[in-house]
Amino acid sequence: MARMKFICDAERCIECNGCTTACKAEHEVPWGVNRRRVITLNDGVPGEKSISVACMHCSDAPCMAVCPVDCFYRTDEGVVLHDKDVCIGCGYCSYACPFGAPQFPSNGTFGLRGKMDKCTFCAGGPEENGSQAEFEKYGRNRLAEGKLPACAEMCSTKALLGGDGDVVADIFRSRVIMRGKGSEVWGWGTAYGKPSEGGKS
Amino acid sequence: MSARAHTLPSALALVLLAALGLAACGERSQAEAGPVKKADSKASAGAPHADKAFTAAGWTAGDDTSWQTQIRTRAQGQNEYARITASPKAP
Repeated sequence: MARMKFICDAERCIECNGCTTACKAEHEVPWGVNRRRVITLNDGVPGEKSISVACMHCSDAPCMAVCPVDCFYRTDEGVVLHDKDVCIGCGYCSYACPFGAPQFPSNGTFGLRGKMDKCTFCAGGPEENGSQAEFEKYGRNRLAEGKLPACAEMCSTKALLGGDGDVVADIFRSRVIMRGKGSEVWGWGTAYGKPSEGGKS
Repeated sequence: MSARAHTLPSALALVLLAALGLAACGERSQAEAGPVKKADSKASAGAPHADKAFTAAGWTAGDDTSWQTQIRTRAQGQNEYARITASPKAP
């Protein structure tokens, strides 16, 4: 199985924030943390584009690289998760992440950080799958229930695709072709070309 | 200089050297300090603690292949072109 990935189709995203709401509700995300956010470029200007952003579950995750207590791990499906019991709340992963995925809840006085929280691809955490402890710390484990992330499944326009990287890439490629574009589109070779020609497997 | 004057600084040096050499004996191993991240179970193992009503049908918990098939099939649910026929837009 390929790595689990998200793709957000900026042509379809209408900034409804359904994905943000679905995530917040599904996992009862603490105050001050927005695991998923919708970013709009040229907001208010005709031709504005919106894109839904959360943890990218990087292959070479900078958060994992910088963590001083090594609380991060990657599952077989490529989902980057962490153990909150090991996390010391230093915030280094938050500095390292270019997408702003690791966040800290507004917790207590003096700006105490608390434990890092981020998108889990609805794969929970190291606690027992589906247990109350897992839900309280990391939210629902939808992957263990045979489902896809709540954000992608709730997307009103199916702009946000989530799941097996090969499948979502295929779906997105067919959309690009349906729109009358093809290999002349910037980045096509890198995304869909053969590995020898620069395409990534 | 007397013999005693010679031996005193060298004895002191010896004591200091010994103290330096033995300084690490009192240190505790840092490898055992702090919690270690727990091992996680695979998603395909299922969610035994979750309510069965919320588990998607059509796959077997513990069977990796059936779980992968279920995930891939569900991902195609995001592709409306699998359900409708449309002609590609002319370039």
